[in-house]
Amino acid sequence: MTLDGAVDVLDPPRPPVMSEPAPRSEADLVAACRAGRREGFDELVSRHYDRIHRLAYTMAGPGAAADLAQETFLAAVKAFPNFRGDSQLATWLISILRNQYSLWLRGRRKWQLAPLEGEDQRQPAPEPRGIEKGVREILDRLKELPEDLRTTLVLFYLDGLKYSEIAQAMECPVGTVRSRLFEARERLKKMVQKSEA
Amino acid sequence: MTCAEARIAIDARLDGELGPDEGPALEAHLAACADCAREVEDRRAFSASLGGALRRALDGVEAPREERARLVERLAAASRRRAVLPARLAAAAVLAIAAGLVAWALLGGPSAEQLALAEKIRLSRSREVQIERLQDEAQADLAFARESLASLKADDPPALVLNVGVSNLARQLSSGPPPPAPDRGSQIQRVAIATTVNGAAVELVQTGDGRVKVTLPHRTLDAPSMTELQRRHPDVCAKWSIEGNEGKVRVGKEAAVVELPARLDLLFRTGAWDDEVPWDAYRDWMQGRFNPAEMERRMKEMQERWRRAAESATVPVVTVDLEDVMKDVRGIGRQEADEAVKRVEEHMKALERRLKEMRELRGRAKGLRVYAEGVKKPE
Repeated sequence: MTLDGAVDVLDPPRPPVMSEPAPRSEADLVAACRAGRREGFDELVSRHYDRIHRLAYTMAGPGAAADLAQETFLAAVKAFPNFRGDSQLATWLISILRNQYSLWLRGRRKWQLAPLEGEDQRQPAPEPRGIEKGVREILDRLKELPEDLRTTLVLFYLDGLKYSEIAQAMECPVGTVRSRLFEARERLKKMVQKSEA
Repeated sequence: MTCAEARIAIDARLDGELGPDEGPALEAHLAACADCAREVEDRRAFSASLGGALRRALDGVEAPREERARLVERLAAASRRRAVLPARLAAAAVLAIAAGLVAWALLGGPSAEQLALAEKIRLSRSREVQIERLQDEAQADLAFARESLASLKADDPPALVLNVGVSNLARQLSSGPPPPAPDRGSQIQRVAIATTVNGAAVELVQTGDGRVKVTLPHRTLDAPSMTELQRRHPDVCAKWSIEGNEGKVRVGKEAAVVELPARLDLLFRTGAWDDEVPWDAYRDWMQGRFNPAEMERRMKEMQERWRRAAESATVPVVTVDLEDVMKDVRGIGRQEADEAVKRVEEHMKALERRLKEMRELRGRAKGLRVYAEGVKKPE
C-alpha cells in the first residue's frame, strides 16, 4: 500500500540532524546565549529556527506557526539559565515548543492578548509550492491525528531523530515513542484504506 | 510474543530501533505466523511511502527570512531586558536591605508598608516591561525598514523617505540627545512667504537648517523648526493663520511647498516627521508605473494599512507576580518602605510619560514598516 502521489522509496535517507558538524560546539553556543551575545542568538536561530518553525507548522497550522516558533525562542532565552545541558539543545527547544503549544491551545498565553509586531500585516507561512495532490492529502490526514502522534511522526521522519531523542524531546519513555509511531502509522493506514475504498 | 506485539516490533526493526533482546523473539514469531511475516514487507513499503510523502509535504515549509531577523532582534532585546530589570528594580526601591532589620519571619509576615511598596514596585516593573517590549517591537520594525532600504535605489523618493523615517525614529527610540544642529543650510532660504493677514504684513522664512523666522507687526518670532514654532506659539500662529510643517507652510492665503528632497532634508534636520510625506513620495514614485486610477487605489489601500497599523499599536498586557516582588522588599523597615514608596512614585511618573511616548513611537514604527513593505514590493 502506498500513499497517493508519494514516491515509494525503500530505506529513505534520514537527514543527519542531531549530529551534524557544527561551526562551533553546542556548549559554546549555549554559553553565548546565556551571556546574551547577539552572535549566539544568530547562531541559535540559524541552526534551529527552521526545524522549530516546521514543527510549529504541523502543530498549529500556517497561521500561527511563526508566532509559536518565535515564542518558543523567547521562552528559551528566559529559560537559558536553567538549561543544564543534560539534553541536546534541539530536543530542549522541542520540549519548550510543546509547552508553548499547549499554552497556545489553552489560550491563556499573554502574547495572544498582546499582538506581536506587524501581526496584522504578517502573512501566514506559505504552503509549499508545487505541492502534489497526494502529498497535500497526507498533510490533511496528519491534521486528523492528535498532536503527540503528529509530532512523533514529524520528529522521526523529517528530523531524523532516534527514539531516545524523541523521548527526551517529548518527555516520555522510549516505549511510548515506539507505540505512538505504531499508532500513528496504523491510523494513517486506515485513512488511506478508507479513501481508496 | 503476540501478533500485536510482533507488529510493533516489526516497525521498530524497520526503524532500526529493535532492542538486541527482542530480535530472537520476533524471528521466532515470524517463523510461526504467516500473517505477521507477510506484514513485514507491507509495513516496510508503507513506512517508506509515508516518510517520502511527509518530506515532500513539509520540506518546502520555510520560515520567511525577515522573521528570523526580527527574532534575533527580539531575543537580543529580551536578553538585555533580563539583565537590566533586576538592577533597575534594586535601584528604584530596595534601599534598606543592608540595614540589618528584623527578619521577615520574625515579623510574622509583610507589614502594610512593605505590601504598599511591593505593589508600587510591581506596577512600575510592569510599566518597565511594557516599555521595553514596545521598544523591542519598534526596533524590530526599524530593522526591517533599514533592510528594505537596500532593495531601493538611493535616489528613489521612497528610499529618501525611509531614510528620514528611520533616522528620526532611531533617534527618538534611543532617547539620546539630538545630533548637533548642522549650520550648513542656514544661509539658504527654503521657504519665503510675504503676505498680508488681517490687513497687516506678515513674513515667514524657513532656512535650510530648519529654523523659522516670522516677522509680524511690532514682533519677531524665531524657532528651530515649524513644528517647534507652532508648539511654542499656538495663539500667535492661530491669530496670523500660520500653519503647516517643515517645508510645507501656509500663511493666510499664501502657501509654499518645497520639493520633496529638500523637504525630507528639513524633516531630517529638525527631527520632525509628517505622515503626509510618505504619500507624496509614494505617489511620485508610482507615476508612470500604473494608470492614475490604479495608482490612487494602491495608495489609499496602503495609507489605510498604515493607519490601521499605527492605531493597533497596543500596550502589551504584562503581569508581574507580586510574590516575586515581595522577596525583594522583605527586611525593609517601615520608614524605609515609606521613603521607597515616594521614590517609586516619582519613578512611576517618568515611566508613564515614557510609556505614552513609546506607544506613539511604536505606532510610527509599525506605519514605517507597512510603508517599507509597500515600497519594497510594489509588484
